[in-house]
Amino acid sequence: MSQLSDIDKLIRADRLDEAETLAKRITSPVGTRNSILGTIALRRGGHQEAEVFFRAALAANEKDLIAHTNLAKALIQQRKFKQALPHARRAYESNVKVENLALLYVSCLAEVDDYPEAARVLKPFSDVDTPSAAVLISYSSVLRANLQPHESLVQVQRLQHLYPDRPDALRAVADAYAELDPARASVEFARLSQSHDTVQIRWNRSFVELRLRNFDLGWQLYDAGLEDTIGKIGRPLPAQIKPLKLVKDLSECDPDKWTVFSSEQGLGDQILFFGALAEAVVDRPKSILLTEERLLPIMRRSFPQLGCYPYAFGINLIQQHGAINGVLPVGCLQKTYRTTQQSYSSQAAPYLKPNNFLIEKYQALIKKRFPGERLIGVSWRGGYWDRQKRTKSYDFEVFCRHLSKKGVRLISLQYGDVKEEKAVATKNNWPVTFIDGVNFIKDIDAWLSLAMVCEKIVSVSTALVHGAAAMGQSVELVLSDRQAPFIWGTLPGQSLPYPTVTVHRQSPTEDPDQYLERLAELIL
Amino acid sequence: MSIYKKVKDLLPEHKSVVSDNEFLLLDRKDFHISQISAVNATLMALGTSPGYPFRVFLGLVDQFAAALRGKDFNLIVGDPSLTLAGFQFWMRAGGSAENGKTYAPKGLARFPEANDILAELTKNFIALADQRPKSKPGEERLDHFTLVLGNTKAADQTIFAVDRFIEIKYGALLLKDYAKVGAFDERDYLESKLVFPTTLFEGHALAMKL
Repeated sequence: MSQLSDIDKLIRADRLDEAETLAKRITSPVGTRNSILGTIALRRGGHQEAEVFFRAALAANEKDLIAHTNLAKALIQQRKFKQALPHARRAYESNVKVENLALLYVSCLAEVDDYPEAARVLKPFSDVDTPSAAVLISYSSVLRANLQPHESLVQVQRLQHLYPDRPDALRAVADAYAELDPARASVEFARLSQSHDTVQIRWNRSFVELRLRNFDLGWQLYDAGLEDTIGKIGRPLPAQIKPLKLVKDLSECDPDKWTVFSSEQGLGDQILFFGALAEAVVDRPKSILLTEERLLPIMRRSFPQLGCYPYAFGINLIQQHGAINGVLPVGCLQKTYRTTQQSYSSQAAPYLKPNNFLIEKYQALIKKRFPGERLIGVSWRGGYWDRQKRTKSYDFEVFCRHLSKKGVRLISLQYGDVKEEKAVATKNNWPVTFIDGVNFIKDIDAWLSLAMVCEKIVSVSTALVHGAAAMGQSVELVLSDRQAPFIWGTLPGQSLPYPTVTVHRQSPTEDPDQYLERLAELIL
Repeated sequence: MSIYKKVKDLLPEHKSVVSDNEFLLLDRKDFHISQISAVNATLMALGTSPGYPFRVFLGLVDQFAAALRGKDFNLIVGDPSLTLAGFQFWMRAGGSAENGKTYAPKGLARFPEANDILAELTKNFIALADQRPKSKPGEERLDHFTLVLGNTKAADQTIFAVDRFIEIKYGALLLKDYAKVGAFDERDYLESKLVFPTTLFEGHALAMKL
């Protein structure tokens, strides 16, 4: 026992080598030995090594709560949140009153999008007279992500009152206002940036400024999303092109060398950013584009002067330093070509070329089957992250009930699993047609060709809106009363990047049913 | 891919098949023809679609190039039929006027018509290659890694590549289709020179000097 006490003292004194020597002398129990060696590795920052020791400790004694806690910490440091979650949960459930264990568990829950559970865990720690700053920051962030912006603001105001000088408290204030009042958030961020100009603050602020259409500043700040510290919620580039030199500004590109443009992020963002590609190619004719394979036919057709290759082609260029400038993510073109509202409106012509062959083929098939009916393409679900899904999507029944009018044929352009919706449409005898045999996620060309066959599209904010609009299709964009992607701004009406997109917003006084009923009257 | 189609229909769902006109592999994933393959990206861009064995050959060449991490190198293309393989190595290894030297004493084949950056790179590859009949790395370049690419459709092709490999200080020898029935493996000659290559499933031979 005294040996363990000695080791503990040495670890606390940061005399890790001596602690390790003593720990290695422990022959039994093996679990204890591994747990101590894991703790030493963790203190040294060897998270992978620590993971191995803690896993071994748990193999010997599955009930070792310290090993569960520390394994969760080691995994979180490696950003293996899903793997960390069961260990963090186990540690938290062993004593639900320990704040550090709760925060550890919440950090895993947040990364796996389980915000309701995270809010439940944190509430008791917040419901005291003087909660810690860590609890208030985490709780306000979780509430915001859980679509409770007003409740989040209450926690932030407590934070501001109790811990007025903490920079993370100031950031939490700005983040909270970003949801409710972008103009106020802009002021808060500007104040914060004077003293704490961190990557995270720049990234969060970029959305506020872009939403307010302060494009010049917003796109500059948007580059923070390329930093590794922002992680997967930022602008992570495909692994195949990561070894290439990253160039963030077109002015850094030597016109005599090849400039490698690269797609980034989800499909909708990519298509939006392609809006500036034609101008960039004029300025740097020696350029190629690396993009997703599913986009290649569209991009080759739309930009015949630009070599378009799959991402893996970038691997071939890793050592071609003399021939290429590096890789420039297409999002970075915006700060060169889309710095004002005028720069959008002056370039707002369709820039993706439809596949006329496929359109004619689908047109012949669909119009023959539904002669004389108005074809309206619909999509009611969107988003990648759970929070996005909840803010963007509408229940299929609500969405289609009012659109199902006489003489109207709704063509489902919804990607993903639509089995349940098919059953609902059949049960209600709604005029909704689901297209079999085309994978909307893989075959983007076919998906958008079907969209072009329709008279117009009625859709929540998804890649479909960007793709169809970039081809010149008329789109009625259905936004909820929650915060929408920044590019749609804050007001209803004609969208800025695409003149054929009309933005509709649910008013706070309407429920979804009333909103869709109003929309159906207006747009059909 | 007629074998593929015939077999695929007979297999349970989710059983992978990789096949060619010459072979068939069960329960192997097709990473060669996919958007994660750098070699496949080159082939698509050049509009060529070779069979699996050659894709494997190109994949090996590609990995040797990647392992160099931009260091200087020598490349000996022992037969014009291996021009594409030579180009994949040169491009991936960072070949340029300043880095890497290609020797193609038997000449290089013409490339399919390419556009943009590939047109420039293929043109540079050919222009920078030493195609004189007796070209080979000089003494001053023998400290660099040397990749020797050889074909085995004729005995002189095999022997030529092996002789070049014997002369180098360190590097690798890749013999295309070495184990193919009908190929000129020239084993007696190789053994007399103490070159004992390993043979891959697809039939290529690999020997190393480190």
